[in-house]
Formats: sequence, C-alpha cells, structure tokens
Amino acid sequence: MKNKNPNGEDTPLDALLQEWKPKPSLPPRFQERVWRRIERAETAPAPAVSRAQLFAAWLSTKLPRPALATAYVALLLVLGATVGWSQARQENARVTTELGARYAQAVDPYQPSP
Amino acid sequence: MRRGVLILTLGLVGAALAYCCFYLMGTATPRALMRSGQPELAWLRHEFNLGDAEFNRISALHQGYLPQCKERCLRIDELNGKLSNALTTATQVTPEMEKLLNERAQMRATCQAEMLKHFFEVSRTMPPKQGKRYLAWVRENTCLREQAMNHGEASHGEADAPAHRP
Repeated sequence: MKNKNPNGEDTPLDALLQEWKPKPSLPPRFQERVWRRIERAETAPAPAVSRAQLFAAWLSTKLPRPALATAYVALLLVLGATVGWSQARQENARVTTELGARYAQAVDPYQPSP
Repeated sequence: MRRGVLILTLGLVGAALAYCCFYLMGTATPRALMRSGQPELAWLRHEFNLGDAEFNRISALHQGYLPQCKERCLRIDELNGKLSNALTTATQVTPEMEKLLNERAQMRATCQAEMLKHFFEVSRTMPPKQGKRYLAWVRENTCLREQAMNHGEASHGEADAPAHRP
C-alpha cells in the first residue's frame, strides 16, 4: 500500500519532487551560438519590396500632399506645353521648307524632282 | 490611394491637353498655308509679308508666266528627243547635231532669261526690302545658282564651290 495524504496524494513523491532541482546541461558554446544567430538576424536584408508596392505607397501617402501634387501637375503641364511647342516649331520649319521648294519647282523647271 | 490616382491622372491629362493646345497653336500658320488653294503662293505671301494688292498682282504674274514656261519646256523636250535620235546613229558630230545643240542651248538661255525677268518683275511688285529678300532667295534656290564646273577633281576649288541646291 502506498502512503497517501487525505487528498489522495503521494507524500514521499511530493517531498522528492520538492527537493528536485533540474540542472539543465546546455550544449557546448551555446551562448556564442545564440549571439551569432542574433547578429545574423540583424544583418540579414529586409524582405524585398517590389517597385509596384513602393509606387503604390508613394501614390497613397506622398502624392496627395498639396505641395507635391501641385508641383507634379505644374511640371507635367509645362512638359506637355514645351514638347508641343517644340514639335510645332519643327513642323513649321518642315512645311516652310517644303512649300519654298514647291514654289521654286513651279517657277524653275531646272529644279531636281523631289 | 484613390486621391493619389486622381492626381496622377489629372497630371497626365493636363500634359496631353497642354501638348495639343501648344502644338495646334504653333502649327496654325502652316496648316492654313497647306489648306489654301495654291500653297506655294500662300507661302510666298506669308514669307515675304505681302499685302492683298501685292499678292493679287504676283498671283497674276505667276499665272501668266507658267504657261509660257511650260511651252518652252515642251520645246526643249522636243529638241532633246531630236538630238537623242540623231545620236543613236551618229559616229561623228554632224551639222544637224550642231544645229540642234545650238538651238537647245539657245532655248535654255531664253528659258533662264525669261525666268530671271519674272523674278525681277515679282521682286519689283513687293515692298523694296522684301523684294531684295526675294531676289536673294531665288538666287540661292533656283537654277540661277549654277553648280561649279567639275572634271572629277574632288579637291579642286572645294572651298569656293557653292552649296548644292535643295
């Protein structure tokens, strides 16, 4: 028969358990390995963010700022106007040269054919 | 995000509109010239700042000159044909060939002289300053500016040779 307290517990076992102090044995160079892992985790590159994600973030956080939005719209307006004007000047020069050549051809039959 | 997309779109649409406006404004003159009945005369009017009266007079001169010019061209073509026929059978220069060559040279000289007369007449119809500009222009852009003589000596007189006509 085993000795049991009124609660039905095994008293020698309780005593034994209370005396027991576990002495964990760490693997060799445990501390050094832990520090190495921490170092590695700190120096590892951050998870890659795609350009689309960056653009989406810029679009939702940076662009709506009034100053940036105004500057962006103004810049595109100036850009469109500049390119349009520059191409118009090229077209002007082309048509002027072409019509001059046509006039010369009309009055001068010695002009080489285009 | 939605506001950002709206601003992005606004910028792009604005750029496209600005491009179209400036391009259409900048090309209004050449488009008007090309739409006219005689674009080359419209160009002359625009290039030399001619008024209505001057332009009407120059148009009349132009219309009067062209049929005569075409007639002389037909005569030169005819002489070219005759000369070509004579050359196919000839083994030496015949009196007939000499006559054709002289006749063609004479016709070409007449053609150029008439052309020059027309240019002077047109220039006199313009305001003096524009008339001078016009004469300078025809000097540079018509057969009045002859090519340098060349016997295949590439370096000979290269620096003095006039530029090729367009």
